[in-house]
Amino acid sequence: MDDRSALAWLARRAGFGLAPNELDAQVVAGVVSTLDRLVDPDRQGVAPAPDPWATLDLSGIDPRNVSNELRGGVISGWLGAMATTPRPLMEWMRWFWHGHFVTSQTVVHDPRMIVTQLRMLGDLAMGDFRTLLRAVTVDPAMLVYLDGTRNRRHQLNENYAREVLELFSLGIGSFSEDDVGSSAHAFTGWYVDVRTGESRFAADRHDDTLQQYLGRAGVHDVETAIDAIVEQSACAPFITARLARALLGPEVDSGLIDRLAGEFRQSGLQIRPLVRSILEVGLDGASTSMITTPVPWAVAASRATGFDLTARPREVINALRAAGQLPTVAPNVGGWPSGPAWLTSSATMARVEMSGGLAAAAAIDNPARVAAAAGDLDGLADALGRPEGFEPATRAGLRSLGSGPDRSSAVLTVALASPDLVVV
Amino acid sequence: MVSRRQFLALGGGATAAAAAAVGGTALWRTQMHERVNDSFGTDPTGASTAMGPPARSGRVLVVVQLGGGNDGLNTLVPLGDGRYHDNRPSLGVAEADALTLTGLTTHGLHPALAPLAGWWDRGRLAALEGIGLPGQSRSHFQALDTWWRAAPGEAQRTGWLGRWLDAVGDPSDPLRAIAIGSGSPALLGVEATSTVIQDPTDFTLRVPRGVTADELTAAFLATATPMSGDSLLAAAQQSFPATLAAVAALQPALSPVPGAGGGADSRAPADAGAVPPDGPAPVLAPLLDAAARIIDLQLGTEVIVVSISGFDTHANQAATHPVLLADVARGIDGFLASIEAQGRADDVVLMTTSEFGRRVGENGSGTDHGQASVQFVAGAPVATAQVVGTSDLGHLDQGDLPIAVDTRSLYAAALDWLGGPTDDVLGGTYDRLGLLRA
Repeated sequence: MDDRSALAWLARRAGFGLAPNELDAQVVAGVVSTLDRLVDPDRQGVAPAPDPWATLDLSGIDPRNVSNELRGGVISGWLGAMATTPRPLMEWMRWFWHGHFVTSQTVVHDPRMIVTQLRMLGDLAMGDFRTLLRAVTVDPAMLVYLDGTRNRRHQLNENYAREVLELFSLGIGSFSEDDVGSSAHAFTGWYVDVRTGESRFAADRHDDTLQQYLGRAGVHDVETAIDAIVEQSACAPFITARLARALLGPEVDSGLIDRLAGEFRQSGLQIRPLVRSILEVGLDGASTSMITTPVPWAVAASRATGFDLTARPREVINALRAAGQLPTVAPNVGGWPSGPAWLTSSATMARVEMSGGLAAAAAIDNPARVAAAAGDLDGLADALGRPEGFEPATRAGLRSLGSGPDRSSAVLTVALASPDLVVV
Repeated sequence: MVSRRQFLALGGGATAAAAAAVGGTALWRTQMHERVNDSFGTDPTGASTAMGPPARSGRVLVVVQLGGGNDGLNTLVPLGDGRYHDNRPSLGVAEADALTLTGLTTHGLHPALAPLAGWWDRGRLAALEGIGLPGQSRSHFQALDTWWRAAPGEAQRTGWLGRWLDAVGDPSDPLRAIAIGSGSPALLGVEATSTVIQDPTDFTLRVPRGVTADELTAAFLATATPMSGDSLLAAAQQSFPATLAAVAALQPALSPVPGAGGGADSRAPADAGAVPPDGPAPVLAPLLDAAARIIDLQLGTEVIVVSISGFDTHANQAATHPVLLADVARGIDGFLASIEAQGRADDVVLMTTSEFGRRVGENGSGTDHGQASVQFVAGAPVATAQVVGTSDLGHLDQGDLPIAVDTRSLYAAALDWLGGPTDDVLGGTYDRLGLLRA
């Protein structure tokens, strides 16, 4: 890959695309410097990212009666941050962990808890995995979503105990049914104060009986249970594979995952160096083809066309819902699917429709529209974050629409929805 | 954002437009098939070699997936068994509340399932009790995988319905198998394709201002050829012709019904949407209503999988489960009535699936993941109203109902009814249990 293509790859995989002319500036800065700024923005002096929900008024909420505007505001605020953050990889990592440690507004009705969780995921996204997993375990939204609040001494509820092992840390096959039962005891006692939306621990609801858990004796509470989980040999490979496939594509070499997992374990499950290593090997040729999902696609498409995702929140939210991926509303605890699930008729239709809307809204001097009007297909591909150009078939389809200012919306619609922007 | 004018110039549901759509679909389907064969280097004239024998015409299997693991024990309630109430002190359905079914003394229906009782009385509803796959997991995802693949312990990455679609008829026809609500891995085949309709009230392409539908269609179709050597890019390219074909063919069934809400449309079941004024909006009914209208189009659709979720009742089950069951019962009742009104009763079988049942003992306010559960088979082809299988509350397996009926028996009965092949698809011979007439 030349530098321009390498930087565009980084923007597609480790961020949410590019604003007009952003790629030019990155080429001047260079790949190494851009990667440093993505992975370690504090140390590189990158401006801090504003809190996505800073303007959302969450005071005086009645959790039993939350307006759709407020629920939508949680989503819009985040979409806006994805598009405008000076620290795109940090926001991408929040998005990644949101798809990993799933909760949903369909179950968690108090938006304060959703925002609390998303802030926590952002704060801890690049730290050590134990701290993150511990925070998730007692996070208010998670306690509600997987019934931790219902898990009490003598009234064990296994929902979180199972999913924390199967989906969040080790994967199926690395634990037994007995482990599910014994950690349910250890996780008892946590609940959410519904007035404040904060989590609390009640010793009288906690079962402190010593448990045998994952081969370790004496597990009796959240701390000892989380310690037992992160000590398992399955933990590092499981998390590494999830992250590596999300960044490098589903066909990433399994030997490479093993090597990265070994480094991850050696580091004490430090996430930042793992992410850096994954991106470095990706730039070095380990990246495989990958189907993107509606949210990163929509944010990237909106950035390239200059559309403000927060300006018409209801339309944007309806469009993403139709596409099948609305942040904070995952379909189930497993999160959103990956791969060809996003090529279905419904997903394709939603993409075509959003493309039409974004194309129509693009300003007359937007670089993508200018290139479309001029019939400059290489310029158009570059403006859409594809400096290597369009596939031959896509070129033919775009050519068939002609050029000129009156054709630019049609050309831009097909380009945005094209396979080239779906397979990243 | 964009004009409401439809992408493909097909007026809402007029007969002529529907006919034109089907014609157009046939053209696109032909193009797709050639592309697929070209790209994989098979004999372009020998498309039929990839096809099995034609399917038995006109029959449609509808699978309703109750995602999350439906509590079978509170769906079909054991009567006269004190162990049930011992295990379910707060969640158990009181004997007096269970709906009695004609000729059945051992079980009653959960009262929320009342709309199904009439179908039992007419001999059009059967239940399978203690159903599951041997050794299935309490993990949602592993249990789902086991149910979809129906090939435990094998590296088979295809679904049971996908393998049937591969074996019979033209697997590249995306209209033979339709998933409504969300996609279904059961439909995954080696070659089989399917159409996913996430929201049947919004299955329309709309054209932006300043462009004609024809030129956009042509441009999108052009992006599909030549196919890329990258398999994911090729799949993305093919999504356009498949989608355009599906929209063209299905739009007559999926356009918003004029005067919807007034129930004026003759295709709608008489009591569709008949919910208590303050009750929750129906979830399954609109999806099954779309299924009924698709069946009415007679596009050669043979398998429809409708997916709903929310059955993972770890907590607050006393409040949520009756609502879920009422939604299921209303949906199935309306669907069977619609199909009967179409004169297609003998052509349609509906069955339910769910990844697992729930733990027999309650956990305080709900039930955790279990194993065996209860499923239903419904429609005129049902042989007789009966409960097949058992649930032995005296011999629990780690607190779960043991599996008494292999899920593949239900699948085998359904595949036989579709005309087979059955044993090849399921990798073995399973008792058909006398569920369906031939």
